[in-house]
Amino acid sequence: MLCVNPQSVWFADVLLANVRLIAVERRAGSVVAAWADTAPGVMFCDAVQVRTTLKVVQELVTGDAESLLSSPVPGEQDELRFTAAAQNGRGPKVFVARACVVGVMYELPPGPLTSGGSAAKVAVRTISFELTSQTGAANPLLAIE
Amino acid sequence: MLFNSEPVFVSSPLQVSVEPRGVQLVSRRALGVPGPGSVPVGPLESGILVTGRLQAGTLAQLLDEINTVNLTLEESSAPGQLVDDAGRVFDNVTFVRFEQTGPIVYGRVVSVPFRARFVGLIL
Repeated sequence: MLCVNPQSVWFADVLLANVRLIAVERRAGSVVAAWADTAPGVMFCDAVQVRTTLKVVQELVTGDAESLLSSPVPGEQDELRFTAAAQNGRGPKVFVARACVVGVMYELPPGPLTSGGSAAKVAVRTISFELTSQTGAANPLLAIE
Repeated sequence: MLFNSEPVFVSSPLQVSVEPRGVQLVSRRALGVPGPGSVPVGPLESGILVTGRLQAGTLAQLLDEINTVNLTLEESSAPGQLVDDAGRVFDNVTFVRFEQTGPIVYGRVVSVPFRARFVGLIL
């Protein structure tokens, strides 16, 4: 799932500003496969230990001291909530998940950093979350509106 | 796979391997017989190993299938005929062991890997 330009993104009680992209990815933590003697191909395959990860891609701009000087800490776990813009005639949709921070990465644009009075992009920050649910059986990302 | 004409390990793809065949040897020294070497005492008891992964839609259904296998194991003290999915026939073998070789895992279905052993004089 890809959400471009979400209207608002909150982690715990912190509003994450200038989020350009949210990507929800699902993959198997491990795959089991079984073969029989009677044929070369896989006869049984299943994805177990499924992982749902979410990446928040955020532009950091000059003057945004809150974003530039603070950062979620890996291991921190709280509620992540974001609002996806209206699409296909449907209204905005709010998603919520219990999320654990697993990475905070920065990508700096080439060339000298921008300086001056107006806000300008100085870096792109990607915060990676692992989504969890209480039983592990439910979809950890819920659409609530 | 059929054991005594009854299906076993129904839900699983199966792989079958045959253990070494040969002659059982006992050292002369162990028998108190003078001289070097060993004395053949008869054909080696060989085994058939069956590996696979049992699967079911729910944990209860999987446990039912495991119980069915365990019942077959308990009731098969007498030798019988084993026929694998490729059509190979093993006569006079006894079902002696069934073990789960990994944890029960949950994905689209519930599954568990296993290994079973049948023994007999496979000639």
